[in-house]
Amino acid sequence: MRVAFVGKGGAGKSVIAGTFCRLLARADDRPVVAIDSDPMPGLAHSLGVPSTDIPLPPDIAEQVGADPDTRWVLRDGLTAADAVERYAAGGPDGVRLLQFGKLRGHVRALGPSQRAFRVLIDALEGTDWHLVGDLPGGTRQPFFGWASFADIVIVVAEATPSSMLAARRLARLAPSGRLVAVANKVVDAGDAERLGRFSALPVVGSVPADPEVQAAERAGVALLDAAPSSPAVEAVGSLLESIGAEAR
Amino acid sequence: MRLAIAGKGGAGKTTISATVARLAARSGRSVVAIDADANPNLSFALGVTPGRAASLEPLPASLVSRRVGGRGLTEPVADVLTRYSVLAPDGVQLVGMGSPAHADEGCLCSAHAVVSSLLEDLGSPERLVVVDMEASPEHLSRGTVRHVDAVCMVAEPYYRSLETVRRMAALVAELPVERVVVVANKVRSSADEQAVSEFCQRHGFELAGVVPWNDEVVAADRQRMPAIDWPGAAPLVAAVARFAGELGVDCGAARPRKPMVGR
Repeated sequence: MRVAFVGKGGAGKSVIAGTFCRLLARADDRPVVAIDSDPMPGLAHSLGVPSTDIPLPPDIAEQVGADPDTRWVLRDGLTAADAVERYAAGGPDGVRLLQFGKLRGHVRALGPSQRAFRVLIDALEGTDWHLVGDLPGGTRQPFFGWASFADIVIVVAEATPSSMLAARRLARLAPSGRLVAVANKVVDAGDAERLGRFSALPVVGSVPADPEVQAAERAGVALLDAAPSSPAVEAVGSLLESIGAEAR
Repeated sequence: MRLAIAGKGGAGKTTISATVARLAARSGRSVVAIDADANPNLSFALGVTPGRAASLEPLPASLVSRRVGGRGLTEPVADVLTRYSVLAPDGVQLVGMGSPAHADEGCLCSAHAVVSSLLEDLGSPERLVVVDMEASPEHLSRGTVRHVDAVCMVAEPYYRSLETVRRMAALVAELPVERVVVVANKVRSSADEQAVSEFCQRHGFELAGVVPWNDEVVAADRQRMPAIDWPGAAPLVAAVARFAGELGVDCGAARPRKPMVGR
């Protein structure tokens, strides 16, 4: 399956995405690639991958063709599978974490690694691997096409006005596939309904407010390792089932 | 005094920005609040009515031109404020950066350039300018906020939030900003406070304020009420006033006033 998690900052995208990746990897033999396009640290902690800054070597991509029809592809002889095996970080349950590195100076410095990253993601579309993206908070990256590999874009939102407003703005995205919402940090039954009404998106999952999530975040440990049978993990499991049923 | 508020998404940047702005305005300062988030929320946190918020026009790229010595506003800053700001409660003037409305609209470089030039021209000892930044580090990385006098990084007491602050601080260090401070937010226990305090010591950051966790702030948010207009959120407002004082923005003369929301 090809999914991408988007939403307001702090809505819980990384925790859900990280847990989702690992549960998916446990349920299916095909490789799971976690795609972290946040120039700030995030997904690695939720996956339980120790290293958080693994830039992609820019030279995995090369320019082919003559002007004006040049395009970027993976370097001759390098397959998408090879590139992932070589440059993605290995995580628990066999999840592969792909990053373009974390921001250290001017954003331009990340450019070549970001280009290599997008070339590699395009190349992965030719495999039968699972791709799970975790985008940075807000509307900027989604609107600039960073979730375009996904068949299903999942908007994570709390039932707060600012989080739901971000969801409504993201609902204007026009992905090639489907756009759905997940209610997070849910405190009462009305939350998911409110989110659905406000964002006009189908709400396909609901994750409860769970003190175990907070505790895991404070400890800097992946939720799935800190509290494998917590209500939040169970809810992500249900989300995986409903998305899986749709993706099939 | 120009103050930029940064931090991870969800850390509380907008709530703190709005509260500082309104407190300072109440104590008699001229205050400009800039929503520099491509996914803007500051108008609600300030208590601007939805109708008025809808009339907020983003700053057009045409306001900036190259001039001798670099980029600059093409119009006097007072005129820019008159034309593009909306009035928030307590007399705060709110300005918005603008956001991409559709996919593939292009880059936000021009929006950054406008905010940067506006900040340059807004410098004045009597005026407080509060910039509510977006979680993305672009403003820091591109130097959009090079003309602020202080950057305040909002930190929640957990690993990823602190790691974000550490990385943002490294980006701010590249800019000619005089003062960089951390304010701890959503602090639930002494262990939480200690976690942020130790983090600051370890990295040589000044911890300028500690804002306690308060369920009432969540309640106010859910009701779309600014924290400053919600009586139960008084502990947050008091903590923000103390922190503003640390930065030299005296809010001591602040008196509770009748909420101005909805008028």
